[in-house]
Amino acid sequence: MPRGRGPSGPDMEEIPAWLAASEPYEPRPDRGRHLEKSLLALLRVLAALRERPGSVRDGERLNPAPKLVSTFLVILLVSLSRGGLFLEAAAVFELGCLCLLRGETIARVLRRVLAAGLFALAILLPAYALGRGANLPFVCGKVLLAALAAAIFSSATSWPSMAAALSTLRIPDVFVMTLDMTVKYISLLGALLADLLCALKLRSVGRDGQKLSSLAGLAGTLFLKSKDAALAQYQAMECRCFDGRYAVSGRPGLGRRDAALVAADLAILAFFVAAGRAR
Amino acid sequence: MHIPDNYLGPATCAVMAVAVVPAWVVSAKKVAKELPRENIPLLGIGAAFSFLIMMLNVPVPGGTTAHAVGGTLLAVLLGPYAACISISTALLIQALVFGDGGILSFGANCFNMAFVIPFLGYFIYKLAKDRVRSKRGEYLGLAIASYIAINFAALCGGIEVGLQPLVAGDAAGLPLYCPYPLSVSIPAMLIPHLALAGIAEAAFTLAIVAFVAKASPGSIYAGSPAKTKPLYALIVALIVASPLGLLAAGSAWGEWAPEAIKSVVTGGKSLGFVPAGMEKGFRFPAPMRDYGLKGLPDILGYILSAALGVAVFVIAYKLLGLLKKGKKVDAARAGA
Repeated sequence: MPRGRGPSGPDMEEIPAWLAASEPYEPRPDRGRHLEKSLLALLRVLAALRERPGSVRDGERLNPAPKLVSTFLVILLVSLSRGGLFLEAAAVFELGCLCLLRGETIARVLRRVLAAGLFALAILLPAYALGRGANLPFVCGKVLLAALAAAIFSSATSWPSMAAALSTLRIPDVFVMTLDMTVKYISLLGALLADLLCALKLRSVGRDGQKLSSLAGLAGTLFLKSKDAALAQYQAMECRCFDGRYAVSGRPGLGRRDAALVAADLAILAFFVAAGRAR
Repeated sequence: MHIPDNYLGPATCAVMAVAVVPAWVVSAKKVAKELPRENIPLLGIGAAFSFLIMMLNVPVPGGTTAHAVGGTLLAVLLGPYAACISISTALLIQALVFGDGGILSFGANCFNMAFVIPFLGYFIYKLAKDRVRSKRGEYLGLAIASYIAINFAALCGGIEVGLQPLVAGDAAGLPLYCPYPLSVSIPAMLIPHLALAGIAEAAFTLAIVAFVAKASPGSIYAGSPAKTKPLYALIVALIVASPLGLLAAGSAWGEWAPEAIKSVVTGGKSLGFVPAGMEKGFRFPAPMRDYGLKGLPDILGYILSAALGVAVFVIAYKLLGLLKKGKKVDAARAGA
């Protein structure tokens, strides 16, 4: 504050009485919490995508392609199985994989699997009332095992190696490129959307009667921005001599760990066949 | 509407995956032909947009919120073919990275959300747009299109899930996957969509298209005029498929005959009586009660009733058209 210009300084005029009077303003509470809900969901996704960027994740020392194939195989066999015996073997296999991950990753995987299990229970419980609940524990077990396999894969594989896995499996390049770009832009456009939502939230005080039009402005702006971003992306790609081919750099080779995973896959496949015959 | 793994049997998953492959192939070819090369990144960025759109909560009357899928919206903004690929990509990332929707049921989820919604929604919208001159009529068509498309997708989801007890059971006949029959699964999927999600989807689509049309009119996809032939094919297919309704034994929620309402179970207790107003109320002596004709097998009766319904609608529509034409001629004469 400059000297001699304090609140009681000679240059300072008196605050008029009407300005000094306090005016109580209590905004009417708004019932809709759509902005908070959207923002929270969005921030959760952004956090999941940006988790520990650049650091080596659990399971990164495995080649992603056999990991993907193994996950798909386990989910398929669990879905096909008709007896509890194979489900027990699959549970042992999956828990074996899970115990190799770090503590915090295990906690995250279990949270997700638990959520899927509770959802399945809520959906399937009314079947008891209809007299169709005899197989309920069996169906719930299958849902849990499939969710566990998917959660282990996704939390033990970073996005770039997932794209590399798809590329190794001879998925056409344009699809891999599209997928890769999608994940990058979910992060970029998601940050933009989070900013827009924050700005809208800060500016809406009290009851907001035009929720839908503000939401339309948000999503419409996002769409126009994505069009601009797409053009900019293409120009940048062209400047770097992009010719439509998408090459994966540093494709990892197969190691001893991968061989162990493949052996475990073969074992579980053999068990599935044996369990099917024994029944 | 994301179906997780093990709610559908592997056979259904395989059938749905095979069903959606032609849609992907045609879309990929069409996009490669139609889309200028500089728009290739738009597919990935459109997928990111579609992913984010599914995260926005839309306020619905009553203070609650519902998610939009935005399928019709994307089809109107990017074209149905690009929308099909974008939504499929978004669904794949949801399944692989976020565990939202199953990996085996990916085909079924794509069929419902990446094929049915954008193509049906876009087709109905285009049909309305080509026939109505006013902006208001076009927007009304868009709202109806997005509402019908999401509900039709929910119906498909309900049928896929509800078929499981019929197609996949163990030796004792007990269901191995989702245990609910069509009579439960279809209303369970449709009622929330008809009442909430459909309204949210329609309002959301309309508001965003109106915003983009105002802010940047050139950005909206301009496709070729809609052909009516596929519509006729669809109607014929629906008529032939109408006996599927027979599989859904039992009355739909809220559609009970007065005699049946006695046994409706709510909160574990059956009603036990027929509401007096229903028993003595007005009853229309319909010639084809319960969509059947006396002396005909049920399936044939169903097909005939469906054909009759369509014919009556077409006649009514043509008569309405006649009225409009008459007004136009009168107006022209008055002008002259």
